[in-house]
Amino acid sequence: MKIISSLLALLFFTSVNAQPLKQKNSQAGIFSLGVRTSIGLVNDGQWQRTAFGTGGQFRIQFSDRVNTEWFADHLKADLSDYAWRADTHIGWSVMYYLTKQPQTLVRPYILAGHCFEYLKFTDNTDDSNIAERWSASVQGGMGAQFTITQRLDLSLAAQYMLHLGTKIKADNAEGVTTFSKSEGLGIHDHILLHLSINYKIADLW
Amino acid sequence: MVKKSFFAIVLIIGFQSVAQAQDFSDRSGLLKANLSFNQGFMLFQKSQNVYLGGNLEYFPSKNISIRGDCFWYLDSRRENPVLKQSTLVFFGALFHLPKGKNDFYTGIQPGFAFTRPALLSLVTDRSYPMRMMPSLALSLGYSFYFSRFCNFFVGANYFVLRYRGAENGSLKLDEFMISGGLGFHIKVKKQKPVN
Repeated sequence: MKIISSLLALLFFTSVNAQPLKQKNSQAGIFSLGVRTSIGLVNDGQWQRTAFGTGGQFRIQFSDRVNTEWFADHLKADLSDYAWRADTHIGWSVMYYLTKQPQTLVRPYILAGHCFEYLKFTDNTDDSNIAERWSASVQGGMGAQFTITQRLDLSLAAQYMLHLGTKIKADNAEGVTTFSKSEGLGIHDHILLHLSINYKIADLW
Repeated sequence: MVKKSFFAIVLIIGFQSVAQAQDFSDRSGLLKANLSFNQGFMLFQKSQNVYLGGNLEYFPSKNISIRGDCFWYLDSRRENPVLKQSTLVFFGALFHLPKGKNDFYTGIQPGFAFTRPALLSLVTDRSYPMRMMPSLALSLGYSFYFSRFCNFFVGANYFVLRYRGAENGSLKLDEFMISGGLGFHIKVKKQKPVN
């Protein structure tokens, strides 16, 4: 019965979304869903390598120029050749479009927001040798939204993310990997590049 | 109960399909699905892998589709396989250039790979564990819509994938994959009346 309900829901959803997006008044209320691929350029220590990740987001627009993005992504990177790190972000950003016209081919924007991060370091030769922490972060940056159709756009963004939490360092001496955590709060940062695809589902209000 | 449900589904799909016009030049509202064998060629490893692949695709407009893909690793054509287990899942959008029954497309799909290499760890002499790794698929292909419900397709994908946590830092598992076969589609969007 659940399968039938799902199938009917899918048919209904696809029928509805085949129509052009009906806008009620302005751009406010537009709800989009999307996926992203991310590259992380980490700035801590010589042992850090470029991170690569995948994620998703939804957007709720509040006016012609102001949009919000609610995201989650997961990145992984090598720590030299002896360990690896996994970053999971969950957060939100406010986007401000620099152009007023919504259907222009390229729509640049600036963004700022907040997120939480879960970071885990793992030894390559011993999965039980780990270090982990949660942190709160702020991020800011800029991007451009490329309009493909009325409902679909590609967005390319670069943002600087500053994490406030326990600092973790990795070291390897004579083949033994050690992780050390600083006492108290510390900062670490990275630059994230995102390529995302966003599909406008509905105009909510 | 099952029979009734089955007939209800057939009736709904049949109604949706027959109610559409015969012309497929406008593909908006098209729902596609296919299952195929895929031949992969690893770029940084000596391995030629075979996958079972399936996808579900929907066209919200004639030039754009939203597609989810899944690939299951079956075997390698090489004596010493690089992979022991691998499942790749992708979701993204494709851009189409339709012309009559022909359709060329390209797209980007971020995703995840659940991968376990077959290689043994040099330190512990055990196989590596299965890990979830972020991945990205770039797609290029062609479809030929020869009937109301069926199409032929050929496609090529490039997967960006790194397995983290090997002794040398990471294993580059990037793979180029080709596939082709028979696909199925139905129109689920109501046709607008022609004035």
